[in-house]
Amino acid sequence: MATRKKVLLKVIILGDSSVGKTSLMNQYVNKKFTNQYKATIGADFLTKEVMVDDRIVTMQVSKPAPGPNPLCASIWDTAGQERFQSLGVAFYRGADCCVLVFDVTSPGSFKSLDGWRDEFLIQASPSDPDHFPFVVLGNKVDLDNRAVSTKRAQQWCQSKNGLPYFETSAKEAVNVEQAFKTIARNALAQESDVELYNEFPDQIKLDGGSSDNRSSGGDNCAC
Amino acid sequence: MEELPAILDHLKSTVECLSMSTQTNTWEVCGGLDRLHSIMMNIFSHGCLTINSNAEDAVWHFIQGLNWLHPTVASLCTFSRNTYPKNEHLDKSSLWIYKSLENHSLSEKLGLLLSDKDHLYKCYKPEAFLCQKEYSDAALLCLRVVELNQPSLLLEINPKLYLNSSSKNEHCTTLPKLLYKQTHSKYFEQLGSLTNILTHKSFENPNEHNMNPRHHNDLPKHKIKHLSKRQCYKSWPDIYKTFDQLKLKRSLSFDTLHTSDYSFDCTHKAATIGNTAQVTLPKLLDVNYEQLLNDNENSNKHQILNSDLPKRTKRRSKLFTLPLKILEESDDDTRSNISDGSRTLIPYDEFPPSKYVGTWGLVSSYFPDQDLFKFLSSGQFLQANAELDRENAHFKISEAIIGTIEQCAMVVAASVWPGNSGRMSPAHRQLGEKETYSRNTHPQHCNVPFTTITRHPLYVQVFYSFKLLLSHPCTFCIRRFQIKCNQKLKFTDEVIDESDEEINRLKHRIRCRRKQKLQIEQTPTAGTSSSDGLTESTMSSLTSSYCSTTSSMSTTDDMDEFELDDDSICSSSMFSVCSSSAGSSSYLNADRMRSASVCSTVTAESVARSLIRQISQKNNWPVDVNVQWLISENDVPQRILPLPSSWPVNPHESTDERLEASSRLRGTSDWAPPRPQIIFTSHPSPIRKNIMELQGYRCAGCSMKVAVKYASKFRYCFYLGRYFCTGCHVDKTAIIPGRIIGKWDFSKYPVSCFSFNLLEKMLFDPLFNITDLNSVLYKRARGLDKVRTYRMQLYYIKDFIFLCRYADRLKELLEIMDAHIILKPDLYSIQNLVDVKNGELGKKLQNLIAACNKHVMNCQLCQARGFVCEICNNNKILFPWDFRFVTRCVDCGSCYHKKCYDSRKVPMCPRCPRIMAMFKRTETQNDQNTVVQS
Repeated sequence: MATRKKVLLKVIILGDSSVGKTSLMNQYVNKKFTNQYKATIGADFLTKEVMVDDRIVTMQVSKPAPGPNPLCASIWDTAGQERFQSLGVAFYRGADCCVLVFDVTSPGSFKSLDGWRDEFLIQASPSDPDHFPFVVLGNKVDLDNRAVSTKRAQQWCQSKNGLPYFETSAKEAVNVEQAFKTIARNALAQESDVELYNEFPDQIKLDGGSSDNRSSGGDNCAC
Repeated sequence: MEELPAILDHLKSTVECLSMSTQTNTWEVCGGLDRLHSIMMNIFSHGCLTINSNAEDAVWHFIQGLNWLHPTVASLCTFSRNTYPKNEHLDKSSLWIYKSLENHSLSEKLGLLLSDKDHLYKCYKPEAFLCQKEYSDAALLCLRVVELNQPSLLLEINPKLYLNSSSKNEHCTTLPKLLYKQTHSKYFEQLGSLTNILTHKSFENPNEHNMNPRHHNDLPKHKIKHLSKRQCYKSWPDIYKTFDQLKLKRSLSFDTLHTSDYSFDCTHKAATIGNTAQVTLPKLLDVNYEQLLNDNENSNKHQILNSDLPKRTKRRSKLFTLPLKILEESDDDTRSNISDGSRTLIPYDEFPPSKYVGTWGLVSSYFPDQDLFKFLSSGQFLQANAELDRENAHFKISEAIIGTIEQCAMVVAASVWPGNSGRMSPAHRQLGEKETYSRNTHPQHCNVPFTTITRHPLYVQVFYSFKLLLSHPCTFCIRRFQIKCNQKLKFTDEVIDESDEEINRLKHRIRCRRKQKLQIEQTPTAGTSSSDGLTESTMSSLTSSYCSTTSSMSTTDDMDEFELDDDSICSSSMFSVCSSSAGSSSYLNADRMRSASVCSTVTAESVARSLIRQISQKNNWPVDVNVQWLISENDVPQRILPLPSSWPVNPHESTDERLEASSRLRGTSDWAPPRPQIIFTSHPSPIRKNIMELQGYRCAGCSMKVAVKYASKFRYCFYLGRYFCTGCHVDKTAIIPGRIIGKWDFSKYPVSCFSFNLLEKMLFDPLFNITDLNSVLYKRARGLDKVRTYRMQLYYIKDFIFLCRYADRLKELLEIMDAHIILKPDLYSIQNLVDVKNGELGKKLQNLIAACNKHVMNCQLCQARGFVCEICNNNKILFPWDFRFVTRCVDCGSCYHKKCYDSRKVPMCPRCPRIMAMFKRTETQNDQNTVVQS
């Protein structure tokens, strides 16, 4: 382990649309917050170097777009988002930690956490699904109209093998740093546990050479 | 200060002249540029602070400001003097203006110069033209009109800015009344004969065709032009003059004037005075009314219509019966007899314009319930350039405006006169019944009788506006509307109760106003002295709108309905765009040839827009009027508009354009002009005899009749499936889309000129959905099948490329493609199909896909957005466009290996049930939440 030169941790943020995934990511990486809501289309990621237990770790925080994810009911009625059904979630694969975010003012987003967790485990298919590190964040605690109590959230986390739970506010930068520190630590732990996974690369390479040849010559392109 | 309006007016009318002209060479050859240059020079030097008593240096100093205001623009205008030897006599600033005008950049430069107030005031006196914000803005607008060639912009200029100059002009050039009469009487006789011709022209019936050519022969064309020009300038006072005579006859007793004195037949007056001179008008009018009533009672109106060569005196009354007849009949659709067996579609039925399809040349449609103003301003409307639809637009607009305005008038009238006078004579009542019938189509039926409405000032003003609309050069197109108006007018005259005090007061007011106007109006004769060879274009807009009014009167008008207060003058000046158009078009009523060419630039919608704008400023125009489009096609049978014996031919237009003009013909029950149809199927092989019989041995393009024995000379149009005369079909050949779609046949077939132009216009329009029209074609044409595959691939790839922040170069590549190629994989234009056939499209798409694919394979972000087969759980990333190995769920869009998916016992996407379950759960949650909340 000491020989490892560089550690890249891949963190996925999941949750219903408009719970504040992008804001959390932005607050953590760029220390910025905006009240303006802009739906993310297409998954995206940011990277940040952090010190975890005296080791420099590059965190790659990814979040999916709510658009292609059918778990938000809105996908079914908005035509605009259907256009992006052709985008997939291949980036779930090789994740080191998954952050489940809900909005403490929206009970619906809290109830969806189950669905998000299951979906992630199926799509990412980690080697040890029962012990895969999840972290749960209840976001928007700065708002007054709270609808999900701390107790209820903690109970749910307990029922899932004691997931760590934080109450955050991306707007006022409450608990964001601490939460991500825990995320990094858990991810790192996961990474050290499963060493066979150190082949996970910056990019997921395919047998690209042959596909190029095929695509230029034949009827179909192939990947 | 005082010359500002004059300068602006000068500029505006010149710009109008330039932008309205359909000739291509006005700018350079005819001196448009020079003219504009001299005006701009005038503006630049107006109120300039002189340095060393040299104004030109000062102007140059002002222009030099551009160097530090905006160096990049300034650098564009550096030019060497010797490249323009023609302009050597010009000084620096003048040359600069000339050059800027020439390369269409003056508005930008001037705008920049004006933006810096300090610099401006350093060079100009505060009262200078350029220092007056509204004037300089108006000037900039004028320049922009020329640069962008958008005459409609002129409407935005506040008429008050240049209106002063008009009235002032007239005042200062007023000639003594006597002199005016002397100069005027010369034309008097000519006018009489001319107006006769006009009357003939505008009310020609098929039966009268034989008469018209003779009149044409009587007067050479240039003479008609000359006369009509004169008439436009002079006929307004002229009518006053006749009115004066009448008044004398009536011993000037305003209060006891009989209704019939408000003769709607001004033309007739002029004509009778010119010819017979001593016909007493009231009598004549009475006769008309009598006849009208008789005719109405007479059920056999068709006979009258079709009777041979009616007496001239009878004609007018007969015309008046026409609208009534229409109202009584519910006509079957006579719109077109081109009802072929093939599948045809009007463009907008099939493809509502969307952001994907984009706008293209053939769409012209309004959407009911749309706000009228928005509709008129919409690009959708403006882009409609199929000539036939343009023509129909006049009807639609006039009807829409009538409907909306009457709706307003009704509301106003209802509030002003809650009661009902009910003083109608039996005859009146009869007409009133007719009127109610005609109003059945109207949106709101107040209980207010029509009588009261016609008396309302708003109505009067609106009526005046109608007249202006009528004076639009396309009188030919608006004829039906005229008839409608005439009918209204008749009622107006009829129902006016002379004992009504209020109406008499109004009459009195009108008359007084008119008297005042009369004095003003005498000036135009002397107007020639006021300007430099630009007499026509510098005619004040006020006068020219009067001209247009009078020219419309040459048909049948009643100016007594006009309330000539200041507001309506203002409103009339709003119309100057359409009516003045530099004097050259105001006499077009007589000159069909020119009218045809002008109507392409002077559009009814611009007239209507300014009308609405004016009315809505003054009155409480409903903010979002749900316009009831009043008259259906059924109510407007085409047969009331007889076929003309000839149609306008502009010698400046090439042969093709002239043939296109034929579509302006309205058609009859026997024949209708070809419509711009999109025909998706090919016609069965033609049997000449059958089709010619179907066509009634008329040319499908121009309705020319042919003897049966010469029918073999007609040529077959493979696009429309009709026979055309050799004038409308010059054996041009074109690819027939129906044949491509049906048989993948790209050979060229002979088509009519109309079809040729139509096909040329739609060449790039994505109109053909091969999957819907003939999906078998994909199997037959390998190249097409290949292209379909490419386009489907591109359809999926584009999401990745457009969302990737590392693929800017590829985004550009995709953006230069036609939108439909990427967004609508099944849509093709004719050109696309040709490109498929010759392999170009396939090659192009293949290269594009290869480039995109290469990017996706090497892009971290795009890879992250791929799919993983959750059936085999292999880490290999799948993309939806790899059709050979990947299957995509049509519901959720997830991708799987083809063989994994096929090997499943239940051929179903594993993810869809999860999604459904989740969806249900959130739904029940929401339900629970609402239950809890309630």
